[in-house]
Amino acid sequence: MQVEKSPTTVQVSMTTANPTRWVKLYADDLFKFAVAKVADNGLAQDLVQETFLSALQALEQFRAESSEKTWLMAILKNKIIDHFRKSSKVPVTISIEEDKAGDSDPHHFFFNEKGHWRREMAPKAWVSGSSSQQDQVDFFTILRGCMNKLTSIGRKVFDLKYLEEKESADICKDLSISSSNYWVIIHRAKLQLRACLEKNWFSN
Amino acid sequence: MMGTHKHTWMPCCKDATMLAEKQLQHQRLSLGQRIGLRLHLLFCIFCRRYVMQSRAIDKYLGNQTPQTEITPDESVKLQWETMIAERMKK
Repeated sequence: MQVEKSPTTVQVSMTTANPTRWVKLYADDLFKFAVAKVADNGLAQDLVQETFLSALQALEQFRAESSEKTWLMAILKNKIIDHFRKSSKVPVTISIEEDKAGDSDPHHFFFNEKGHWRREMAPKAWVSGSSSQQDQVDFFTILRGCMNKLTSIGRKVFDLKYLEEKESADICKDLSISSSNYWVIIHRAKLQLRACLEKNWFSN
Repeated sequence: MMGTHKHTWMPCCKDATMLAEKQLQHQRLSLGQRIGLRLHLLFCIFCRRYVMQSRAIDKYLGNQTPQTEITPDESVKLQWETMIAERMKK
């Protein structure tokens, strides 16, 4: 039933989307993707529903070059990113020095001049909390809050990597950054995220 | 890599965590890098923790693959279908 188009045989009839089939064909995949990203069934449902609504409003923007599914998926990803942005008012704390460290030398904040962990920044053992549903939701809220504390470039790279699931090489191309620059950004964002989670969740 | 300190055969924590990060993201390391990282991890509890925690973070961020195949309720799907059908009429 699904129409697979090869680039050589684009037909006029395929240039229009067919919303009446959306739920049957794509709802499961869209929902699965959303749940994997937001870890909350109810929220995932809302996001999928909003995706359908936005897609209906933007029907005429649908182009046959992309499949319906790719198109819907792209809308959903934007919804998820929007949601994360909006939920940024989560009360997570990072130290002022870290905030100030900004772009100068972020690694300096974590490591001393010999490249060893600074004592107060060295990873501590994480106390694993309970895994009740509510705790899960709370954890992801904190994770989201910590994500929003990343620098904008770190945030961008993480979004592309974990949400869009792009390959490193493509991310470098998209953002026109060198591969070594990419690794510095990833490393630094991970250091910051790790420290933030430790501070706001894994310490009691 | 970067940094002002002298590098020996053993990477410092800053370099070791970077190498570990590359490895976690399936980037190939040279033999020397792999050995250096292994040795460092052998001696350094902090970097061992970093590696474990970083891997956990990747899991949280990426695919929290649901334990069971999860699909929306049939009732929810029906609701969506009705919603779409109604909007199409307009």
